[in-house]
Amino acid sequence: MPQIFRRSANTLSKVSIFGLLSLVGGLIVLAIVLARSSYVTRQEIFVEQPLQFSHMHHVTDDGIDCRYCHTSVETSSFAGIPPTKTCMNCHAVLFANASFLEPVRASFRDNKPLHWTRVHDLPDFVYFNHSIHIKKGVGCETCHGRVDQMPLIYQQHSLLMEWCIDCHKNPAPNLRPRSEITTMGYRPAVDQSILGPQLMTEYNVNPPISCSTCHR
Amino acid sequence: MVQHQRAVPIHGLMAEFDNPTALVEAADQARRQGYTVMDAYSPFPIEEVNDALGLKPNRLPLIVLLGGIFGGLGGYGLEYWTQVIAWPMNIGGRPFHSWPHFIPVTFECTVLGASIAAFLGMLALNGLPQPYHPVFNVPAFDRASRDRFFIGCRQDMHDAPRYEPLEASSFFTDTSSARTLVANTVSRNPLADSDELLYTGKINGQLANQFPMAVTAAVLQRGQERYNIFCSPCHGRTGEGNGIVVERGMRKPPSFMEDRLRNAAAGYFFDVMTHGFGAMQDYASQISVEDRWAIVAYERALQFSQHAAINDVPDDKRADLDRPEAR
Amino acid sequence: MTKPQLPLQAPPDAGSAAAARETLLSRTPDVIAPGHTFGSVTDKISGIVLTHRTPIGWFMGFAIAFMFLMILNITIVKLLFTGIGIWGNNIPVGWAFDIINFVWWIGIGHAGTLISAILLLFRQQWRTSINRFAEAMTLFAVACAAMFPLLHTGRPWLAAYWLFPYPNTMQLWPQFRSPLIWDVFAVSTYFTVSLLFWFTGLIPDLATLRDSAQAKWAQRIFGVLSLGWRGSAQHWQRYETIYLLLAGLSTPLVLSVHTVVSFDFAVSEIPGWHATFFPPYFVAGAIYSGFAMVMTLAVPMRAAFHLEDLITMRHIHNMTKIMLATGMIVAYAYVNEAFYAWYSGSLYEQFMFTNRATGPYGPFYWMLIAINACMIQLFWFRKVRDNVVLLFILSLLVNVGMWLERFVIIVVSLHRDFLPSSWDMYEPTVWDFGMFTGTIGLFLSLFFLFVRLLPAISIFEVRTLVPAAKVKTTSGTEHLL
Repeated sequence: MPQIFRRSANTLSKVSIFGLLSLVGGLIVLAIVLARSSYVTRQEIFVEQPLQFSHMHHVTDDGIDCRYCHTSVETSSFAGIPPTKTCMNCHAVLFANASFLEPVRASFRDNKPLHWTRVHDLPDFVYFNHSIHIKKGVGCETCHGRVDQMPLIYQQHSLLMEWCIDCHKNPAPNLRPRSEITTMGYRPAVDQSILGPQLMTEYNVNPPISCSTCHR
Repeated sequence: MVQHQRAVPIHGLMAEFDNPTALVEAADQARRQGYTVMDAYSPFPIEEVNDALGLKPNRLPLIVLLGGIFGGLGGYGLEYWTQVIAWPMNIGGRPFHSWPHFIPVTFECTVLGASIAAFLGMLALNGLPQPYHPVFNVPAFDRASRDRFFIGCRQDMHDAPRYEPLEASSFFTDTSSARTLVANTVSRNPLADSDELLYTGKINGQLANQFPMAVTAAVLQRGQERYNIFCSPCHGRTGEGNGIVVERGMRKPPSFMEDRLRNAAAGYFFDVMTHGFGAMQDYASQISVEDRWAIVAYERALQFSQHAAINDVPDDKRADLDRPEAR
Repeated sequence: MTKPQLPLQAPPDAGSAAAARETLLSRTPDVIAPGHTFGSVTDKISGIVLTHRTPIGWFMGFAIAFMFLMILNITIVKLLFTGIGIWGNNIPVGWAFDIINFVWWIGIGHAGTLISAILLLFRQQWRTSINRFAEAMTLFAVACAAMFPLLHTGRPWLAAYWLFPYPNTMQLWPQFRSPLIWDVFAVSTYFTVSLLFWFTGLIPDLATLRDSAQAKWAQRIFGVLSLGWRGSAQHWQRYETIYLLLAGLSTPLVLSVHTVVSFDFAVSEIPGWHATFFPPYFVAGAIYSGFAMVMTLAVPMRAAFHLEDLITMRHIHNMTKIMLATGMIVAYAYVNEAFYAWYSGSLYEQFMFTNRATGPYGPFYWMLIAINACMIQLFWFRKVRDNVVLLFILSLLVNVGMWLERFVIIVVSLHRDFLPSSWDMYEPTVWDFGMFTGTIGLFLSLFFLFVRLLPAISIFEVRTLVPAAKVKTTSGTEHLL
């Protein structure tokens, strides 16, 4: 009976077993990593808009509060995208002839809304309410990042459920006084480890983690 | 392409049989003849071959047990961690740690862990997969998976069936390969009572003051060498009882220069070496009978050296007394 | 054992007792036909795999099975694109063909493990020539069964986090208090352990095929699969150890699997489901249907490949007897169901039973009683047990009966629940039948491939049945102690 395999087949066969196992393991790890990558979550990816609106310019250079435009954030589930009228409050006068702003003027003139591309898009089976988060002391910056430094808006965080749940299980590190809600680059006056629990008591923060809180 | 016929080094010897009974008997014989590196090859498992080859029970049951414990603890741990710690959730008012509900999964994980351990353990201990093996070089070996029975054996010279001195034995129950003498074993040496003086230092039961052999210079030199090896640690090189062991705290032995010992019979020294005296252990197992007598002779010389007159030294040797290196 | 008629005073006559035993044995066919050698059994079994001529019947059978497999493919594609709305399931019958087929397939699988593991522990020699293909049957049946829990989620890739514990992006973990999760663990463990057991059994036989194959590529393929097995005594010793251990592990496992499957129902509160006797009832039913499937496969296979020498009438008889015994347990459970309905005093339980017997699905109930309680009484007769063609037909009917049993338990209990306002009838759609017949196609396709490509009977274990396999040492081995 001649040998069917060469001597090297012994090593090869053992290596291939471990190779196969690590390949399967590697693929599983890859899938787990990929599900959290910005390729899937669109985190920190700039989104092309019909008009290159700069939050940085309006917030940092002009010092406009978030709520000037996002008027319903304190009272409604939706923060509110401003109507063209809000733009025209200033731009009827400022840069009134800039060709760059022609779409805004056209929108106002023709009474046709601007078609912004949605940046923060939660799945439709998720019920999210801005107002309760504002009431409980979660600042804009906490979820949306340094909007004052974004020439073009992008999604700061993954918006994955695990990201929501991390805070719902342990909200104290993310709370700030209601007076500081719209502050960008906020630093707590006292240490957060003291302030956080204090605010939890004061604002009665008790975030639910039952399914029906968000999936109604 | 040219096929190169390479000489295959001999791996071992192989014998072929056509029934399992012959295989078992051959394995039995070969093992009794001391072949240890031996294996049988058969197309189905034969329990009797295991005994004939002297195979030990394997460790797989333990591996499987550990696999099962690992799986079971892992399963229960996973359930506990996910249901109690990671995200405790109220399910129909049941406690977070509702252990009766955790039993089925724990059980399944135990079986899974144990089974995977069994399979991988078998492969690992058997060294499988191993598609190439020297036994496949044997032309008829393709029938080992069909209807033929083989025994292969090899004997490495570095691993022959012998014991190194004092090597632990797996054969004797006391694990000692060096065997003690059986009770009432008769010595091959001349019997002790054939020469009373030589073996006991006595004549008619009384200590004798004579030597059983002629005391020559060679005897004295031998005695000096043996004395320095065995006696000087306590008695000192000069016999005054100030050896190194005494300096370290051992009780000082009497000096050979004492009158009692100078007057003692030669047989007395032999007797003490043979049976011990006071704090001194016997040296019968360390010093042979002839050497004991040689040491006695040297001790006599030591005693004499401290009480000799110049006239006792031959004329031609007196000059050497001042030259220690000449001694 | 029957005692010979003897005068009271006389001591039991050893001679006549042995004679009685002898007559008993002579009526019992052997587990292997006489005159076989190691070589002849090897050639007989490996010949099926190594021959260059594939029987025309194999091609025809495989073609039909493959056609049904394609029906499964079409159904799955349709299902994944459209969703489980294509099935007939709807409130109040939220569970229907999917779980009926799941339980049916899982149950069929149980016979393979019973033969390979439990009969091994009991040292039953007659397991030897049927265990291999029965184990293969287990694997294929469990594969078919596992398809339903996965596909009934609609989009399995999104539903994976319900079923398996892995760090998903929602921080969610399976709900370990649910019997459905126990099912996932039980079925996946069952599949894995059955696969390991089956492959372990195959290793020495793959080595036989490697050594007998003529073609280089066949030698290489079987060489890779056999892992370089060389039949060493050391290896056999470890092999036998884990084979026994795997059998010991599989035995409680197989009992647990159908117990857990029965928990899917018993742990709920639907009348007709919520019953403590479900686990033993389900396990017995599983073995019953599994042996029927083994019979269904064994009879044609035995005839097509002329395996009468190896799968003897002894095997056929024993399998029939096990079907009879487990079938009687199942029939006893039917009696229990009726008794509990009456004895519980519960209006709902009683309604459940009268609805079963006299409701719109009543004929199904009586069909299952006719098959599982009445028809199997035929197995008491030796004439029936000797007639393999009849047994083949009866075993097919048993599988029909067991499918009906699950239909009655699941659909009939659900379609009229506590609220008469929500009563409705269940009608399966063409896609329900597509899934069901499709999995039969998958099962048979895999089985046809298995029979042609791998040894369907364990060669090395059959060798141990050859008389020459007994070691008759004269010197003995006592001195080794």
